[in-house]
Amino acid sequence: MEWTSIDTWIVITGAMVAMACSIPGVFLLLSKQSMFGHGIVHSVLPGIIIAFLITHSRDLTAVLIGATIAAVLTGILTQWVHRLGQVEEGASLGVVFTSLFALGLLLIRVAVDTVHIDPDCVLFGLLETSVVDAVPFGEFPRVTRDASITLAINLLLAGVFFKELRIATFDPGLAKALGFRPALINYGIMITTAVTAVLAFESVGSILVIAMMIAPAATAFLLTNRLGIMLVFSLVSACLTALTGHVFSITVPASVFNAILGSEMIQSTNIAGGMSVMAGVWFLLALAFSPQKGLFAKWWNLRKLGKEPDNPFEQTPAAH
Amino acid sequence: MAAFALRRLPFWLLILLSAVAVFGVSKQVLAGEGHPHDSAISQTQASEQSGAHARKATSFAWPDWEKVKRVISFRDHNTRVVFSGLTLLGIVSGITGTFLLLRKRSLLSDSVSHATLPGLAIAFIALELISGKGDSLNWLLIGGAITGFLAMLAVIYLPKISGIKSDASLALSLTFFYGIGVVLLSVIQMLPTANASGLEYLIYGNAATLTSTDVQLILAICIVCLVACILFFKEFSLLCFDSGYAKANGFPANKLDIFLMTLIVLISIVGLQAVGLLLIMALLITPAVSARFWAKRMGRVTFIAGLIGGTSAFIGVLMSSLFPRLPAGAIVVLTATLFFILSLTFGSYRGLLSRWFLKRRAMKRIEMNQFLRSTFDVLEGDQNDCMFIENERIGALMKTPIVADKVWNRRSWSRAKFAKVLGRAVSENWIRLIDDGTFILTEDGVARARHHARQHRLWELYLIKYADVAPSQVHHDVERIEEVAAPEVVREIEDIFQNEIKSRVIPVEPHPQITQ
Repeated sequence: MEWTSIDTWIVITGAMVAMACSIPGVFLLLSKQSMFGHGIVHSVLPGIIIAFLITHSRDLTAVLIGATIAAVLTGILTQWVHRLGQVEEGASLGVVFTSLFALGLLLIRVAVDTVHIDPDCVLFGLLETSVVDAVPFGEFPRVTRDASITLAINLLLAGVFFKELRIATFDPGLAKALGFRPALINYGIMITTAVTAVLAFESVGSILVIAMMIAPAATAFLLTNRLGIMLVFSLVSACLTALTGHVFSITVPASVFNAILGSEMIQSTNIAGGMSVMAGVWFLLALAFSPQKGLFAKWWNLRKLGKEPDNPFEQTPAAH
Repeated sequence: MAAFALRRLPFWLLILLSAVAVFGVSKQVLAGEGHPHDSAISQTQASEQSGAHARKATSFAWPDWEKVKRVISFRDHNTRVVFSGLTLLGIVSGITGTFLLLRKRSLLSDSVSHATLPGLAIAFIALELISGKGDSLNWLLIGGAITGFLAMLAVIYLPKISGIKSDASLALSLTFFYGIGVVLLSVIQMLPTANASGLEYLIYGNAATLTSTDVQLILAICIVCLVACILFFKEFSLLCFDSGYAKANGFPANKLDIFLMTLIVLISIVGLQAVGLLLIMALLITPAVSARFWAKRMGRVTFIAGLIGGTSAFIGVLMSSLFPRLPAGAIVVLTATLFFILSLTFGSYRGLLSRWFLKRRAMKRIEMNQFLRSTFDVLEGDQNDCMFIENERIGALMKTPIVADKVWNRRSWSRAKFAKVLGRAVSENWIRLIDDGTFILTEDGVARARHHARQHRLWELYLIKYADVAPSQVHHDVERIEEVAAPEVVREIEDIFQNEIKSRVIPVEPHPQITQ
């Protein structure tokens, strides 16, 4: 495999998207809403179709607006069902997003049958094609530009509202008592997540978005106990994931399957998929080797504790 | 015995219902492979393919009467197969989903169904390599079941070993496994001989193509799950409501948990072909969530969930065989959503309307109590305080006219609201109007006013003495708690204050007077 400028751009774009997603991901993880990203990636489908039906064109802005409205609606409906119907939060998200997704599938069949909108395209945007469209012609890829802008906005928001976000995610009760509005902040997180997800998965595929909303944050969660450091770690982890994920997807599956098949027909595989696999691998590495919360460290500490000569918990024979 | 049988009525009905479904399916299966050209569904599919151009012009058409008759009379073999298979799947997933919901693992089914993708893909590739034919459904499903099971274990054990929350472990295992699946799918697309359309069916579901063999599999899995749910009903319920208690009582809680989740994995697997991996979760969750609005007892909830699941599946298949353009999986899910919205609104146990009515009734009762109590305070303040609090002077209370404005002064209500409560008090016969602005209490009114004044003051005394509440504050605190306290608590407080009360049946207000 030869490394070309396209590969560089893919890694840069992937890293930008990954970092942009990991910032809201940290707060979703801490407020126990990790599946929200997964939910909106599906529930935007009717928004996209309706936007398409209204404008009768595949204009990107309209699609983005429709998708964002649907995503925000998902958040609001989920909260609404959760609070009004006294339904557990996970279940209410499940009911809301599957309903919206089914509605989208139905709309595709009934209303836009004559035009080609494939749920495949909506759900598996391809990072490689959206970069390849621009780079060989000497352009700056639109995907990369969008991802950078999203990243900048998310960084800015996280920086400006750091105090509010911290108090609202760790202690909503205290936040309320101090005069902040935790519910409002939560909606803010949801809207940011929705907009980020919609901007990203249109170009890189839904699986990468869902993975990057959770895995870097979870990896960082295992490495530190401080929110600021966790944010930095999750950004670093997102970058590493993008790089290793791309390397993985152009080398590993190809060499494995070519070895099995004894031929050269398998080349580079889906990059978003590879990146999300590597995101999981990085998480597993952190789970094994994290200095404080890692399994290895825990095992080591237990062993050390058992060997200590003056262990107060060790049973000593009673002296008579 | 009869009482026992009656108490277990839901179960008998469930067993009966599924027995009917099972009978229906097994009859089809015993009758042998169907005649595909005989069926309404496959016919419409064939005509779809031949008349592709005509279809594009009119994508949505009402079915003619002939076809409606054909579908409703279940004349065709395949129609019957699809109907019975999906209805059974709906019933059983509704029942199993109830346990999943109560175990607070609703989204687990989503992670599991997404995690079947790598298994399906690996099985597909392996079959391609071995036999050159990648669409042997059973092997694909076995592959999917293996990775789905692994994902389920990951979801359950990740929080235990790493300290991340369960929602994060759901999302992590989902993306990890699905990522592998996406990579493998792109490998499959590069295989020269492969035709991945069989896999597409499993991702998006296609109920119309179910055959007798597929329904046999659905039937087998559904029977296993149903029998397990009935046999282990007590254990599963205990696990859902209080797993710690289950463990303390010697139940193998962890093994039961894994067993229950394995049933979920199995349902997700057989549901793949019917509604697709993206929507199978809805079939498990939505009926269960809806059923919770109708009942409180576990047995009833499972029964209603099974009923809703079965009905949604039935209606979904009916719609999609009448309108062949509609995707069956999506219709099933949307029907279930419709049931959910209806249950949320009209549910008899926790529905919005019934809760709203309950709340309104309680508010009315509380307002009336407060009104009568304030009336009593006014009566007492008008006279020398000891005069009217003794038992033998009740008659006098009924003859004293009360000025309405004085009562209003003691409540923080608007004029309009006060007038409304006053009107209600007249119509409910607690008071009688003498002229505009004055009224007297009726006999019932006196009794109720005395009762609530007494209870209120006992509470005030208790809070001042034992909870260190300031006398000037105590009135408002009591207004909040007195309506929710049980009568036994009031009796206990009476015992505490026997000395203070002595012959006086109603103690004097222990705080300065409060007016608007």
